[in-house]
Parts: sequence; C-alpha cells; structure tokens
Amino acid sequence: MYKVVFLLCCLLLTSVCQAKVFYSKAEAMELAFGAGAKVEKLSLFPMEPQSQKIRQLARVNKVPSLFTFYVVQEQGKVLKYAAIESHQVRTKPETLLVVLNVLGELEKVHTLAFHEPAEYQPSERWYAQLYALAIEELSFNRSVQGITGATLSSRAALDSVRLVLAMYQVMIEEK
Amino acid sequence: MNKKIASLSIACALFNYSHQALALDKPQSMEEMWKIIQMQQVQLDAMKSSLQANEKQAEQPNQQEIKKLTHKTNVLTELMEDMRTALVIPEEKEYKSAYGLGPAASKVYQVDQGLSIGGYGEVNIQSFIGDKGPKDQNNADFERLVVYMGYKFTDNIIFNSEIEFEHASTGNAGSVGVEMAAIDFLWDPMLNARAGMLLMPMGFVNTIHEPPFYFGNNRPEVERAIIPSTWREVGAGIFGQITPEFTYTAYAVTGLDAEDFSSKGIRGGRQKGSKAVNEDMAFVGRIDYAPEEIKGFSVGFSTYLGNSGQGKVGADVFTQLYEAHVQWKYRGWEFRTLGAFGHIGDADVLSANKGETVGSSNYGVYTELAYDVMPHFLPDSGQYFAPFIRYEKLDTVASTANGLPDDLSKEQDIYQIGFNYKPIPQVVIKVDYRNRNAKQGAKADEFNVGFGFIY
Repeated sequence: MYKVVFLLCCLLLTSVCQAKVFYSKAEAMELAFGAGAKVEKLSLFPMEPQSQKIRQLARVNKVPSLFTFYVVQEQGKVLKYAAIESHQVRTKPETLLVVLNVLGELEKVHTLAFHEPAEYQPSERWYAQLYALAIEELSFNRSVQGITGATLSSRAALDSVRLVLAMYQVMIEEK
Repeated sequence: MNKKIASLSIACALFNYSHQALALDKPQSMEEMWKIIQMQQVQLDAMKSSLQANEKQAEQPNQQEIKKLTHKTNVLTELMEDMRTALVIPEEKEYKSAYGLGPAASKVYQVDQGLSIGGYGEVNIQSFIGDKGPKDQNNADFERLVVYMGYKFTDNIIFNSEIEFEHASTGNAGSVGVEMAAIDFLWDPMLNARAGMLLMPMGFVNTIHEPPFYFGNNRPEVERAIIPSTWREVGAGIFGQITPEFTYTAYAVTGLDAEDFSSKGIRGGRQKGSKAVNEDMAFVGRIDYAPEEIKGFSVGFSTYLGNSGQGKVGADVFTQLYEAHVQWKYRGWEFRTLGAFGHIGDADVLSANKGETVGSSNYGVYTELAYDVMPHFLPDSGQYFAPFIRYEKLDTVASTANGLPDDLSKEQDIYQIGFNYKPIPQVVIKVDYRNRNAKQGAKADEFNVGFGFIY
C-alpha cells in the first residue's frame, strides 16, 4: 500500500522540473564573457597537416573541419576564447562550454546540456581539477583523477577539453 | 603564367627590333645611338603599360570573385555554426525555459532524445588448467548480450531497461530476463525517485557490471556469492546527493525467498521480479562519500535488511547483508577493496528443510590493484592496457546454527592475475588466470580469455 502512496507522491511532484539543457547559447556567452560583451566568431578550418597535429596533441580520432571559437576583443586583441563542444558520451550527447583565457589556458568548463542519466554527469568540482593544466597533463595517468561509475563521461569530457586546447594551440597560437 | 608569357614576348620583341635596326643602318654617332635607345625606351614603356593594363583587366574579375567567395564562405560558416549549436542547445534563454516544460520546444531544437538504445556483451573462453574435476570442462560461452532501452517521456520522467540474453540460447543453458526496468522521476539533485525492477545498490558490480568496467573475465566471486549480482527485485525508492560529496540510494523491495537459500548462500533466493512472492519486503540503502580533497577517491557502505521467509518455510528468516567499499583512482592506478558480511536468521530451520547446512552467517572480502601502462608506451594512442592482481576470500558457511556441520568446501581463497586491454574505451579484451583454493576439496584453476563491449 505504501508503495502506491509513494508512487502517487512521485507523480504529483514531477511538475517540479529540472531540465537537461542547462543553458541556452545566449546564456553560455554570458557565462564565458559576462553580460553585454560583444562576442565575435572566429571560424577555423584546419587543413590536413594541422588536423594531424591536433589529433596528436588532443589524442582524439576525429578533428572537425570547421571549428568556431567565440571571442571578445579589446583594441584588436582577443581577451578570451570560448568554444561550444558537443560529443557523444555513450548513446546520448553532452555539450560543454570550454573557456580559455588570453594565454590559451583552460579557465572554465560548464555543462550546457547532458542527456545521459544524471548520475553519469561529471560535477563542476571534477572539472575544477582540469583548470590551467597543460594539455599533456589532461590524462587519467597524469594530473586528472577519474570518477567512479562515470568513466565514459569523464573520458569524453577530457577528450573534448583537450580538443579545444589543441585547436587553440595549432590554429591560433602557432600562427 | 600570364606574366611569364608577357615577359617572354617583350624580350622577343626587343631582340627583333634591335636586330632589324642594326640590319638597316648602323648608328653613325653617339647622338644617333642615343636616339635609338630613346626610341627603344618609348616603345618599351608603351609595351609595359599595355601589358600592365592587360594584367589589371585579367586580375580584376578574380579579386571580385574572391570577395564574393569569401563572403559566401563567411555566411555559410556562420549559418553552419548556428545550426550546429541549435542542434544541441537553444539559442535564447526564453526557449530554454519552454524546453523544460514540454517536448514541443525540444523538437523545435531537435534535442528531444526520446527512445535510446544501448547495450553490452561479453564472450569468454575458459580453460581449466589445474585441480580439474569431472564437471570442469573447457568451454566457450557468449555469456551475456544485453540490450538497454530507454525512453525519455519528459526531461524529468525517464524509463530505463536492461534485457539480458544469457549463454546465447534458451535451448541449452541460457535464459532471457529483465535485469532492470525502472522509471526515474527526476526532481532535484537532492531528491529523485525510482520505481520498477531495481538493481540492489550494493557493492561495485551489481549496479555497474558492464565488461569494460571491471577486471577479469569473471566478476569477483565475492560479488557473486555473497552479494548475489546481478541482484534485482521489484520495488521503489529514492536517490540523490545530499551534498556534491555525499550520494545516497534507498529502496523498499520484495524480499528474498529463503526457500532457495543453500550452502552456497543467498544467491538462489533472488526472486528477480518473476511472479515474486511479496509476503515479506526488505529495505536496501547505500551511502557513498567522494571527498573533494582527494580526487578519484570514494568510500561507501550499503545494507540490506528484511525477512525472507515469504510464508513458505515456517520461519521469518530475517536476512541481513552489510557491505563496505573503497575505491581510489590515481594517476593510472586503480584500487578497489570491498568487504561484505551477511547473517541469515532461522538457518537451522532452513538447513533442516533443505537437507544441507545453510550458513547462519557468510562473508567475503576482496582487494584488487591495476595500473594502466599504455601512456608509457603509446602516450598519444588513447588506448588502455592495465595489468591487475586481485585477492579474494569468502565463505558462504562462515558459521552454522545449533552446531550443524560446517561445509569447508565453501571457504575459498582466490588469487587472480591478468590484464584488460581497451583499444577504445567501449571495447575490452581480457586475459586472466584464477587460482582457486578451498579449505576442503579441490577447486579447478582457470585460464580465461574473452572480450566485452558496450555501445
């Protein structure tokens, strides 16, 4: 009997919602650059030799042929870079906002959308351990510790962050 | 190319002209010579300007074309980027709020996930290489093929299921079963509810048992005999995180059926939601703590309490199972240890009914250590190769009721060594050796090779 009562309570309370899309694109830009910032797009088209270098640096199998950084400039100088990176975790996607500072160091990661079960979502404090780490340190064998029960999602997130850093290093820093 | 042709033409023209001039009449003085040079210079300038004009004419349409193409590329790039992000997140805040309320908006942005399918499987080849008994036959087994199916009704009401095909065919030793089928009601990170066929939240393997996430071809024996994974029952309960460091799960479920308890422990008593007798219910709860200060470290414990008599054995059979576990992942090292202790009430009644000693208590402990060596050999490959060692000790008849005889064959030590190789995170190849020793009688040692996958 108490099971039935319990289930009814559950159904009544489901109107209190918690979305799996946490931020819109407009909000993501605010998170990265603050309110009212004039955000510009910086589109990058890696050629094969650059893709190869990015693949190697990021330790990923696929490099997109079009990649966009969102930037805010002051007197012609970029102050901050942000990228919206989507990837499949297991069978469902996750979208991250990866923010780099003026030196191209990882400053912040926000989860914009997460469609796998909530218990597999890496927490903000897990992402915090990645900040300002060099790209080669972004590995479970170096400075990053895994998450029990969320191996795939933490690995996918780590790949994503490395890809953004590698994209910056090859396509912007080296130019 | 055009420039080259033009330069060549000028050179040829000059050569012809001077040649003709020389042939007609030679200059008689320096003045005449200077006149000829001046004439040549005038003609040269005229040819140069004509050439430049031609070049300009030829270049002008190209630059316009380039401008057009650049503009087109920019427009297409912008559109492409907008479309790409619109597939995963809405553009504006207002639409995001709408998304949270119903599927219509989510369809607009094509982020409605609806039905999802996943799964895993594992295949093992087992060879007995020592202390081989008459029943120990080398074998190859497609042990599990599991299909996950989920449906997201809304962002907050989600159905998940796990349907398992075990041992490849029901015509032989196989079976098909629902391992998990539950609806989640997601309210708040602190408090959510789940109802249906639930996996008992005990130990490591019962809730996360996909092949890439545990070492060896066989699950740890302690998490088979003492915590009878895959252990699932029908019930309902709550789960969430009290703080980001503390997570909890608490379910009320159908109790075990003590009629099928044996000297092998409580494993036979799982009702698996198949016309389960629900005269006795049970409570199962778990708490995990992952401190912020120690990344990759977690510790937790779980408890199962409930009667298992189900009105069938003439006793309540109060059954208790307590388990504690620690896990630490650090710089490629992976360490796990787990201990479980169980107590079965009215074990004397059960033993008399069964005609064999059902232990009034049971226990098991194991510890394992692994290290991913791949970054030392192929640091850029993203592959994983981790040798591991594991030690287990368990006894399903740790104590007996009313002086019933102990079954020493159920007290075992197991030493295991092997490796897991993952060319990609979703696929694992496993090789291991298990040395099993019982306090009484022989237990065959095994060499196992297999692979597993998830998708």
